[in-house]
Amino acid sequence: MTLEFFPKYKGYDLQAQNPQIQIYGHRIYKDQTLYEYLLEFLLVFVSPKSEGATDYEKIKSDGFYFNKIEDETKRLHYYPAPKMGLKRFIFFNRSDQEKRFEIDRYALEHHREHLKQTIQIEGSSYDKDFALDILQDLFYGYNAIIGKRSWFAQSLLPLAPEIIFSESIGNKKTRTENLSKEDSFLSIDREFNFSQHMFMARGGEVYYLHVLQGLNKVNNDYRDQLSEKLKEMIMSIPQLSALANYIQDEWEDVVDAPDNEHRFHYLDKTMEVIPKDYENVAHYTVEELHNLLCSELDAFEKVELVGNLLAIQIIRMMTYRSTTVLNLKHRQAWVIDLTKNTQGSIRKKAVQGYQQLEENVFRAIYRVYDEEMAETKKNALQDAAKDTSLLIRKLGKDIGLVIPPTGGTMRMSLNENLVKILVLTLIKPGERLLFTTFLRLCHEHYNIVIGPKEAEQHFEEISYLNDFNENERIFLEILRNCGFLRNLSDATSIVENPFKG
Amino acid sequence: MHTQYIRYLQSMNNANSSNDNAIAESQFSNPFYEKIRVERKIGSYLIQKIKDKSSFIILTGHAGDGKTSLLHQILRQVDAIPAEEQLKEEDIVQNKVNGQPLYYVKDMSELVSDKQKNCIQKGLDTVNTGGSSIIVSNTGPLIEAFKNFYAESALDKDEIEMDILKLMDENSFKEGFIGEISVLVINLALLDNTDIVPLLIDNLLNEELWIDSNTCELGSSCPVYNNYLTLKKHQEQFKRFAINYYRWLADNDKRLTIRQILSHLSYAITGNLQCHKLNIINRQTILFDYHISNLFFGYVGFTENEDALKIKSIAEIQKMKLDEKKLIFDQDLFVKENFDVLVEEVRTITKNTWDYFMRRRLFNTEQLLYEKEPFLIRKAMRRMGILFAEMDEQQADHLFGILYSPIYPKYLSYRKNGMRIRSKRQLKEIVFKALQVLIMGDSSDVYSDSVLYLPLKRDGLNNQNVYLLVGKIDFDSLVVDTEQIENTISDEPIYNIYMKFDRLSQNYLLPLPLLDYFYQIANGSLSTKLNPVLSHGIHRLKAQLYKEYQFTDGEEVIKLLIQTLQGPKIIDIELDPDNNKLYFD
Repeated sequence: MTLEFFPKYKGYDLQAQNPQIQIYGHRIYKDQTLYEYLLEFLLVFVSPKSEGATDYEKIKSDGFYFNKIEDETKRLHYYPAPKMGLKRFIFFNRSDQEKRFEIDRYALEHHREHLKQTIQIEGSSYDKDFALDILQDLFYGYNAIIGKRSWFAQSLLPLAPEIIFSESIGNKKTRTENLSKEDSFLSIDREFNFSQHMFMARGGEVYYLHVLQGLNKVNNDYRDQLSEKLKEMIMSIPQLSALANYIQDEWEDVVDAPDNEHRFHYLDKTMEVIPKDYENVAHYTVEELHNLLCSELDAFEKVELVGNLLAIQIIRMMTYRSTTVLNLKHRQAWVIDLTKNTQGSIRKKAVQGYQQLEENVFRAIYRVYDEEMAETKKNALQDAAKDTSLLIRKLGKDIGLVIPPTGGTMRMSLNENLVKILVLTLIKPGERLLFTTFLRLCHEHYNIVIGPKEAEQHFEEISYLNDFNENERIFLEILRNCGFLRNLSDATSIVENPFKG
Repeated sequence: MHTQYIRYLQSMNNANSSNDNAIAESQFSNPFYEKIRVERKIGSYLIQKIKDKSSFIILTGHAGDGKTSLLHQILRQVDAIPAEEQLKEEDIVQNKVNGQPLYYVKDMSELVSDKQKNCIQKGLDTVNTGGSSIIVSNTGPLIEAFKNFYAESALDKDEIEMDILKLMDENSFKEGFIGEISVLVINLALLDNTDIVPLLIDNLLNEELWIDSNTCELGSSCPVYNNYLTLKKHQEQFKRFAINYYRWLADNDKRLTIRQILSHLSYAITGNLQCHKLNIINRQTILFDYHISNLFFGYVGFTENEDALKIKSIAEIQKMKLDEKKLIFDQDLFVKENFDVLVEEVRTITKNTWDYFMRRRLFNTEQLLYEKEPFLIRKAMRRMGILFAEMDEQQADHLFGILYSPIYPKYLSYRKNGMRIRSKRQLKEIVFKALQVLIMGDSSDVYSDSVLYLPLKRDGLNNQNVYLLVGKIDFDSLVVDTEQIENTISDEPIYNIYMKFDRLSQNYLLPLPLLDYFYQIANGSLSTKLNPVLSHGIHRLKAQLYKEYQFTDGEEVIKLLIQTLQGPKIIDIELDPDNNKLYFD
């Protein structure tokens, strides 16, 4: 079996890549955090795109769509705007002290001074700095990732397209030694590394390509509907867009760079490839994402749930891929343990199952790994583990799919949030299913094993189906307690997605 | 005669071993069934449907909801079968009202799957030839049967399932499609059956059935007879309490089936006492111990009766601990020892019981307050008060307010009579205030009574000092009103309470638990929990409000809310992009 990839770029040398990329796509990388998958995915979505390099000028007003690929041999490009002025305005004063470089303080001061010229305060006694601080606090309050990061590596929740930032890494040496106040603001803004792929490590690009795979497999209407719903999710608050544009535009006035200045007005990013294999689960991905986006939810909650869904789907992609690469007879099951019984047979099965899952995901690497690689690159296997099995573990723990957060006996479980995601992705808003049908869908889509019926399909000789009965009963209670399950009559339990718009 | 009747009553509950008559089929041939059964309005409604046009009717619902009884009632009403005739598994009979054939299946769930398929086909054939069909079935088998019926067709089996579930869930009394068949699905599990309770009680207490009970040798010492007499005297008061209790359960997701209600009532009246084994040593004691005021709550005297807990509504009433709430007549009963607050029929036995325990044993204050026995005695006294205190309408409402929830008496009145202008405004204020608290949280006090701002605010703990107000809802955009709905149970009108926002097309119903929740929130209780199904409803409403009540693009002012040391403050920003100006106000 040759390893096929998507899109089929002309002259793409897959073998030149490290083994984890060859198996799982270019690339899914450990340092990318949960929200950054979503942010990077949305960044691709909102940006103008092209097949093969093109003149930015021609496409700069495009965006908010999923490519319909005409020619797979051409590289996919996308062109996000760096918006360093806005980013600095929002994050600089709230970031890691050590990375608040003088040169950026200087730029920010100018930016703020300029903004002050445009501000007029009427009928109140506060000063213009206070007014600017309010604006800064407003945006900063919607932060997604701050931690101890430098200002240029922080990000906001995707509540408006203008505040979805691309990656920019400021090198200490460049910013302290190579740049001085004599340099133009243009060079101060341009001297970032925009393609290091540290935090925006292409995980979102991989997911974007995966969605494209799915869109190729389902009804054509989906492409527009999905774009429409995704756009709705990030465009629902025009006030934030207006203010963000204002702040950035004023800064561009100060910088006064020629139109379409590369690395100031736009970046040119290229997308890599993913395994063609992923397409076999891609229609699920699209369907689930679509159902979730169509559900009538609070803006913050929707963003959070979509973020979590991405993680689940990425874990599914990788699990699925490992079983096909290893040519396993059975698809790897996700045995969900909901019982509290530490000695029970389900606990045992779940722990074993998860162990096996990690093992398989890592073992798939050996499909392409050879001793030579160990010679050319130190720690090749350790690195591969970090980007494969350990990555699944990390993402799984982040969303509560893998528990406990620390310590042994790792296994898969479901929390309230994940239960909500399952319901909202597997059932169209306003519709309902029998509980048993819902279990079947969980199994079809994710290989989730909760009840005896699904367990029977996965494990040949199984003498503890009774325990799975108990597990299923607990799941039913969780669904009921979460408000998704009702008894219609006669012990007929239905599961519904109540969030119809 | 009356002893047989008492035995019949006892056979209908599951607190003893002989519940032979708990199943509908065995009922039809019992002469007492004819006396106590309640003709259901839904029956006449369906007969009218059949008369209007050939119909394919499916009756489903919980065990005990009266599916088979309803079928029986319909068949009798159209003179298709004589009153005492047992139903067959399935049959084609003649509808004497319109002369058309009527095909029925008594319980499709009991048939093997091939036969089920046949039933659907026969039902369809009958309808196609101008007749009508009624199939009774449990839900699970119903879905399987239809999937099976369509096994060879190209239809998606999951769609069939969704069709049936949708019809059952909406229970709209309108025909809908299962696959290609147009059917009228009636889901009795979702029908309000509480209005049946007063009719049922009237029938249970029908004098004819108790006719020779006064000649019995036990006479006035018999607790069952005593219960009958007391109830007969205060029938209306008891009916009011019973219906309100069952309604409370029904409206809080704990609806009882007719069989469960009957089981409760029959136990409450008879206590499953067997006449021939009764050995009366102390008349007062036995009358009190087996008084309906104790039995209805699952007690015999001061002790809980474990058998009685098998009856669902008794288990529920005990959970609610109604007799532990401080009631209006506590002072009279426990301090003044004034038993005149109770109706005459129960006054003496209650007073004697109280005296017997309180006089014989000298409790000191601490014992009175904290010891178990005085506590149990007080509970029993309250139970008596709840059922048989002398009360006018207003006092009764007050009592129900304490027992259940302050909004409950109002809700009952709105449900029955609709709302007057004044009540609408009062309720609207409650709803609006509650929404302000729910949506704006701790800053709700900065806003006026007439505006509900929609803040873009994150949940949970984070230091969000400034946030955007993305829209607002004026008090006048909200309407709270009632609408009359079709009552398939009785001729009394029923009103639904709903709220409507002028920009949302849909009406939002305000069922009892939601009203109760809003009432509590509006009155400052933040710890109140709402059941999760309804709380999804609120989240969905919130999402829709945020969508439809956004400030429009035309409104250039951007509103921010900032938390200052002096408390929250609203700031307006006006953006003038043409002149590069930002105005702060």
